[in-house]
Amino acid sequence: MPSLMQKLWVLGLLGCLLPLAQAESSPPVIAVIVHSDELKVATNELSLIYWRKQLYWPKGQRIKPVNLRSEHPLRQQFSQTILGSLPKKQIDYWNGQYFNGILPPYSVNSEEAVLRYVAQTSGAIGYVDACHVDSRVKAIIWIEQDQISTAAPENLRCP
Amino acid sequence: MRNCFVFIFISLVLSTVLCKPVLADENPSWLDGFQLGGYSSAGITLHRDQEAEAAINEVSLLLSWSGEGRLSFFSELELERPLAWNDDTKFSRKEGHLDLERFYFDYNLSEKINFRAGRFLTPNSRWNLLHAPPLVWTTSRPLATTQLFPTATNGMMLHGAIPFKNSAFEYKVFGELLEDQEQDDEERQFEHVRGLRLSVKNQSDIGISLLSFREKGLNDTSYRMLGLDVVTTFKNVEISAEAFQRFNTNNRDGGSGAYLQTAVPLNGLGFFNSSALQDWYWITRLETLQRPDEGAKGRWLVGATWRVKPTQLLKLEFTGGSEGLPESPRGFSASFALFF
Repeated sequence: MPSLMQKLWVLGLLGCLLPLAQAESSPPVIAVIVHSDELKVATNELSLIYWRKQLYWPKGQRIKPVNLRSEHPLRQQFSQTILGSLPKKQIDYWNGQYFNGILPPYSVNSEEAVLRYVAQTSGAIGYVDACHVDSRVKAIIWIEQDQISTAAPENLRCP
Repeated sequence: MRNCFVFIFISLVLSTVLCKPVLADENPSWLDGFQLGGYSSAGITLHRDQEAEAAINEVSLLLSWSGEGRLSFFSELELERPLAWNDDTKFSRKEGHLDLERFYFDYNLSEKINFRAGRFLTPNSRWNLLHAPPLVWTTSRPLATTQLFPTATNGMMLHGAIPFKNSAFEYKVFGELLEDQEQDDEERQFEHVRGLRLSVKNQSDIGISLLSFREKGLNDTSYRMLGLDVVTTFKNVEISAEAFQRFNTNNRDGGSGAYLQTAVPLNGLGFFNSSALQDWYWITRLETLQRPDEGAKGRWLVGATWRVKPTQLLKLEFTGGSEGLPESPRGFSASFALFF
């Protein structure tokens, strides 16, 4: 028969672990990153850029969007939130665009590759886990669950 | 034959120029902006009323270019029916001919406005804009998308996209500046083409178009045309439909047409749960067409299409309906289409 102290200890332990479990199950905050400070994007224009309906920055520079590979969890999260569908549901659309000479965004395997591509390519835009953003790029939009904001999250917890 | 050699020569030159290794380059040359691709299809048709025939239907090259600036270019050069066979003539290359399907420049004026000049597909029908065989479920094309309006226009266009929820609201305003210099006797001829298309791409793709033009022929009549198109998915079934209504200058009926098509995934049906049927679709289509002084005609189609790969389709279909429509033969058709 556990004592009262033992029960309280177990409850206390559960209380400490529960937020951790919730934090693990919630998807990461995504940061949309660009090559330089001059490149601005309204949140509702992100989908146009990644559908390749908007091809130019305001000053006429070509937009060069980069994607993670289609199986990457961050790509799936970004695609579902911003484009409203998963990559495998977009095959017909990209075949149609190919017929009109428009290719899908360039695709890379890792977040580090996204960071390097955006840092080294003029006019580039990409996305990574907000905790992995570094000084090579500029974060302009943050996607937290279904919330899209141009303000950085105040309580971003990074390991 | 000469066209065939020209086509092969152009292909070889382009391949030599464009098929270069991909290397990181801080100062890319203008040649790096080229993209070359294409599509092709081949098939056999067992006509109900005529001889059986087989053909390579087309080999199309898609060449595009975009540099660092606001200008871009796109062209589609098609070799139509380079090789055909039927019971009478056996193998023949006489039907083969080159056709410049599209050739235009785009200039970006602002984020939401682009200017296009050249030859482009008339943007008043979803099927017309996406008619490549690897993009459509059937070998045959709905009659209403070929018999009522010009499928291509030589002229200018303003086009762009505006954010709409997770997707885009698009517009296209266009007008003809130059008539076709080479007239194809098998196709209907049009002139003075002007129009507008508005479309929304979201969970469903919906488009509305307005077009005015003159149809050359016996009466040289001017028409205005309203077009509606939609494609949506309901419980994994793709449903697509288009409808067109023409009015003459007296606001009287100048012809109409429509189709309704469904594509049902076979492995999604309860009694067809098999991995062998993965990526097979059951296709059904109903069509109607009414041209001035020609009476109403109809077509029905049933078939099965296998998406072999995301860029390859194998199509089997039976077509039936009214007589006297040589552009849409009745009988059985099988074809294979791919992007390359």
